Amino acid sequence: MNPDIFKDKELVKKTLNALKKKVEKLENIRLMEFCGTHTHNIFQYGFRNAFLPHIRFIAGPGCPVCVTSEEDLAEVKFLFDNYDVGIIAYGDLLKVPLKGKSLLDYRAEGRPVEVVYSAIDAVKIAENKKDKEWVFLGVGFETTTPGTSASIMIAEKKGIKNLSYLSFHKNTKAVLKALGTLGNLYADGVILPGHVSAVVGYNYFREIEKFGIPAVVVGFEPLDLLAGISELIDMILKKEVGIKCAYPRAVNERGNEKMLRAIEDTFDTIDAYWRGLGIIENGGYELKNFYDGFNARKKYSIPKELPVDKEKGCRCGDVLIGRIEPTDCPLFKKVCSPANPIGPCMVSYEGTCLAYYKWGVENQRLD
Amino acid sequence: MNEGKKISLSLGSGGKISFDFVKKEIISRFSNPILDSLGDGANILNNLVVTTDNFTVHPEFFDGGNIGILSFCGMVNDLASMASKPMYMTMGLVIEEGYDYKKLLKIIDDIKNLADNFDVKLICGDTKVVEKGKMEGIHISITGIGLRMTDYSLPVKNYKNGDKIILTGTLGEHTISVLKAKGAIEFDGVINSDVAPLCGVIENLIKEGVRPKFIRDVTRGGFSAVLNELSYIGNIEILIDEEKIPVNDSVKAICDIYGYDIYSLACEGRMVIVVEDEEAEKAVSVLKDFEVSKGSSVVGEILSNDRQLVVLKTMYGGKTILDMPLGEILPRIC
Amino acid sequence: MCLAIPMKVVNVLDDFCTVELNGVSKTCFIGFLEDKIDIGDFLLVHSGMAIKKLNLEESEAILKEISLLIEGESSES
Repeated sequence: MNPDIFKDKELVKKTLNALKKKVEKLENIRLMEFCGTHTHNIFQYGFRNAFLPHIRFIAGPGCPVCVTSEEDLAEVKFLFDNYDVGIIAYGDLLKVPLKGKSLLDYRAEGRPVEVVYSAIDAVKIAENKKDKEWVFLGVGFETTTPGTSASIMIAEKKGIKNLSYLSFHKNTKAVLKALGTLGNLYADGVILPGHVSAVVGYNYFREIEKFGIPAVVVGFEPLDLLAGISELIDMILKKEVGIKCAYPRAVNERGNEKMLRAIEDTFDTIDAYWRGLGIIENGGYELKNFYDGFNARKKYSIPKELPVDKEKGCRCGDVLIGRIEPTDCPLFKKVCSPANPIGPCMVSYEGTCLAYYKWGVENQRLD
Repeated sequence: MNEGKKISLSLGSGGKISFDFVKKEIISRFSNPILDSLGDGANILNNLVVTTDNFTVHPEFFDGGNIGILSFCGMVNDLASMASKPMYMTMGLVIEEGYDYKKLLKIIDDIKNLADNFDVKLICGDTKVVEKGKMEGIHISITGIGLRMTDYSLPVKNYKNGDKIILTGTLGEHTISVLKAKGAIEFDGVINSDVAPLCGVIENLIKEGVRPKFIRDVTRGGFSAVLNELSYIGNIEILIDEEKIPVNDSVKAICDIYGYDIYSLACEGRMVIVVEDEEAEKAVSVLKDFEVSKGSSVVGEILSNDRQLVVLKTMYGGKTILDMPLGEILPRIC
Repeated sequence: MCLAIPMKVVNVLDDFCTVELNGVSKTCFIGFLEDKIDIGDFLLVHSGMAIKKLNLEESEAILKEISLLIEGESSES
């Protein structure tokens, strides 16, 4: 079998039509996806619009770049202000502004900023440009975190001295915890992230059951999304609670234990700031003391609690759980805009607030 | 207010940030009817068209082309976008001290050969050398002068329901080729830039009696930027049928791997052409006769709604919005 | 959350392998995979690192459900 079947145009179209029929009598079913790539693909494949007004999609806090906090970015600023270091980052992070200044702006000022596709590439940069001290910004959830582990292992083996790591990695289990502290999920069902689940296994998300709504682990090809949505609708109609997996070719209950071990061997969980949500208990990953030599926080004595003067009143948390619409937020369009985004819903290209900002209404009918 | 503000690469990337800068800082200062029309070139006197462009691509050589070929094609494609036949050009060279002489000659010869092919005469120029390290390699600025072939100027302002949108080939090869040459992305396999002169194609199209309403070469900002500009100029909604868009499977694969949006990648040898419904079939058949536009097809149409929106009917049967791209093209992990 | 795509293994070298998609090939880290990797396998690749070998036979039940959905909805109309 070839995985291309999951993007077979004719099969997807037929499935979409069948699913549209299946939901045509339903009213305003709200499905929350945690994963930014789900949000992106649902939009890009045209599914967000296809099910209106029967199904609406709510974008949860599942983009690791969007939840990278002002506190995290203040550490980058500290490094630039105090040391002659180069920064290595994933492309996603370059446009995220800290008080109007992004890594792109730093690069425009002549600061070395290198973009990589893989954490392992950071080692190559450090090897090739030995005259400079480099700091890799580790962003991402459990899917990306092992990449940083691998990068550190390789750097250690090669005896690289001019590379350290600043971990902004976030723990996905904390997504649920964070949402739990905000109260209810204003959703009828949850689309669980397929790729994080491939690593952590779907048992990891059992806590979702306490919200009393069903959840399905979903893949990212168009047919995966439709199959997952269909499964979730069935569960909602049958009033089932619990987790099902609609992405079994990549996800099982226990995940990839080797990767989980790599994370455990390299990182401890710590309390961490999430943009728009505040401090989340055990919501982040920090390098173990054993790796102090590779930890940029230690190497450059980055002070704890760097001052961050944050815009008050961001209601992203409430937008993320579906409690309010972006227009209900006092900062929306007044202070918060794509050029000066305050919360993750405006940072993310697929964020609910950004969609409202650009097109007036998130769910504009296109036909 | 702009104290300490520095120029970032996004300003020149052809997306929304470039567009806003031009409107806010250039048009506002130099405003006049010719400039304000925001064309790829300017209609002056009776039937002359002038265009100007700078080329700074680095490295100067990439799979499928080089900065010389790129600057000639960019110039003639801009003139073709104004329905004009390129006649004369000027050329400015800014070269870094220590630049390889043979490479320079290769670039100049490539421009000369193309100019001969299309009977474009170089009428004046300028050469400067900059101290080593003050710039990288070579920059070329080219101004082109053409004769308008139509009795109206492009782009027109009025579009009607059912006007057809033609795209002359696959998308994104140029950006991918250049990113690879820069070392920004790595893969085994060759993707050649689509860089090509389209002035001959457009000349033929008009000679055959087709009366295009809009012609634009797909460059920085990609297909999305061209369509959003069209939507803005005509105050119209546009519906694009994704299934009709020709795809280079290797480019698609790169986009999947790096998370690039194929519709915001640049081309240097593709055109978007709008014609009335009745002319669409003929236009496509004329275009298909040329090697550089053999991939032409009708990919969408204009809707009479007066909301400015570009809607993409996806290959999977849904609908989504194609937005003006924002700034630099960067790989994504999420 | 994370962009990952299926790519086909065309060559295996220790902790790395070469994966391919539509004529484009790249190097990919496979040091964290639990399964043995052979040429022809499909891997889920995220930022230069394989996170899982795809078990395509596991998809059959899902594809079955999809065909049932298509049949069911088309017979009703």
